[in-house]
Amino acid sequence: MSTKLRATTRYLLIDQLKMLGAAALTIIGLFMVLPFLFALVSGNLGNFSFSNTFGNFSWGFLLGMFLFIANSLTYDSFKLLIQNGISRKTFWSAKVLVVLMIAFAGELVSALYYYGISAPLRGLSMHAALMNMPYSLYANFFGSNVLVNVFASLIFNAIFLTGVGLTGMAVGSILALFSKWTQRIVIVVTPILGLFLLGFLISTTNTGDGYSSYDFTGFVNFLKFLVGYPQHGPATTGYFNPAMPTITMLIGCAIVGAIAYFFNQKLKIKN
Amino acid sequence: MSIQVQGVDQVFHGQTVLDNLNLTFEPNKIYGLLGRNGAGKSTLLNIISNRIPATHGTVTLDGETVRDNDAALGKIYLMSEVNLYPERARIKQLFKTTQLFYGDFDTTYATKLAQAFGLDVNARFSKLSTGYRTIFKLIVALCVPVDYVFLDEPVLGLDANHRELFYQELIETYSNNPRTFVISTHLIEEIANLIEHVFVLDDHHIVVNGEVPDILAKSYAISGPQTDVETYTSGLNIIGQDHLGGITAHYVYGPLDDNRPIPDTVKVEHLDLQKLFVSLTNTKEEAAAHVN
Repeated sequence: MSTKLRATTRYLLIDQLKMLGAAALTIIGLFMVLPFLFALVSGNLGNFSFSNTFGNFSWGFLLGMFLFIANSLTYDSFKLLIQNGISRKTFWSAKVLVVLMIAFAGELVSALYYYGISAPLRGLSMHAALMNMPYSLYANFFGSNVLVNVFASLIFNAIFLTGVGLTGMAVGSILALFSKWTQRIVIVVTPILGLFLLGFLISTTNTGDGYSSYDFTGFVNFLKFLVGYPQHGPATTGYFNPAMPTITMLIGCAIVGAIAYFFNQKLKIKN
Repeated sequence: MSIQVQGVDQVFHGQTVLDNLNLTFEPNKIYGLLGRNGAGKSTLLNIISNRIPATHGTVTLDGETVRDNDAALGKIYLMSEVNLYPERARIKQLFKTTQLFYGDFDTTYATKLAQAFGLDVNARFSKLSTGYRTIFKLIVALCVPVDYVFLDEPVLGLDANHRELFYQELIETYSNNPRTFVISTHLIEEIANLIEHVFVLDDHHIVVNGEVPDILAKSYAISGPQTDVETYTSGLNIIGQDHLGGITAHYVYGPLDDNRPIPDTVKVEHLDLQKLFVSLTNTKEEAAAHVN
């Protein structure tokens, strides 16, 4: 690793950790205080439990949101780095490294919290806790050893978080090319257009009697293939194959990473 | 060992800002980059420091492109009019950030300069006035360990005392540690004695490129009665003229005719850099306004 890449990675990592700390404290504060206030105001203080509220807190969700938002903030970092003689390529590389570090380390911390604090507070065994996660589809795939399955879930989730962070980078790099005014328009208009498109697709494929004139069998089979639906035998929760979604996520990471790199190369200082 | 700008074009929204620019910045020299508002000086400096891509052409440092090149970009510092530092960061933190990326930042000298200029290093960047933001950026520019320092409007918002202090420090640091400075400013008189080489950018092109003494040696103000001046300067490269009362002055850039005797009524003097610049870059309308 070159000196410049090390320095840039260090700078961005410290910057993001500070932001993550502030975000975590704010969310914890809100997560604890708002339910307490609600219980107080509604006269249900007797039913309020700090440990339950604390136990229900989802670090993974916070981490995912943070990785997306923090890595979509592109221009401020870019302008400081280009002022300090750091190239776009090094900026991109450092950001990818930071996403990887926060995704993997964050997932580890999140798992420690989930299995070490949250699950015991809710009276769940490690296996039961694993079955409560989105990864539950694959929770028994690697056999009866729950630790092996938990480890596999960590890797799976960390890759997912990496993809979320890289997607944030790609979106941020694209938005950074526009003026603030255009950015606001894009942020507001894109979801609306997406909903319209979705509605249009539904209306054109739906015959009105609850059935579709389109044959979606191929699409459904493809989705099943992507999530690791068992090709033979019964589709039992916990026994789906995580290999295909993992490979899909890795390919997705490579694609959004490449998109982020492409648009990162187009960054320039605005007057 | 140099920065070479080769065949650089820049077009914004169909409008040409720079047209086939070719110039070289050599090591350990102080350059002046002069041009009128909108001439493309800042654009050129932004291209050199890889802040914006050129539409065509290349910029190389010691033969290597500066584009996406950390090693080359690490030898260049551009102090620009645009603020690229985080608004909430404190000045002392920004010194540390500069050190992190550039390496041997001269913190001792930076602290000394901050004291001399009265810059509060505990203040946040956003709380600084325009003048103090300029001072902060100048301090970084003088303390950063690079071979090429580009100063775009380095005295923007500075009072006369701070400008004087900056010029003194510039000379001192250049004497102690020679490196290339490129100064782009409108206050030509203030830098005229500092710069060794001058580039004048006008109408998207470099119209003057040379050592200051050589340039001034072939810049003349020829004054006297109108008929005598017009007879003497006939056929020469007249770049401007003034009329005041019965006296006419023609400004000439280029060699005089050695075979042509100078009438007793005509006075020939050398132009200063500012007058030369004004004459070279005046539009036809502006030039006509002087001929009344």
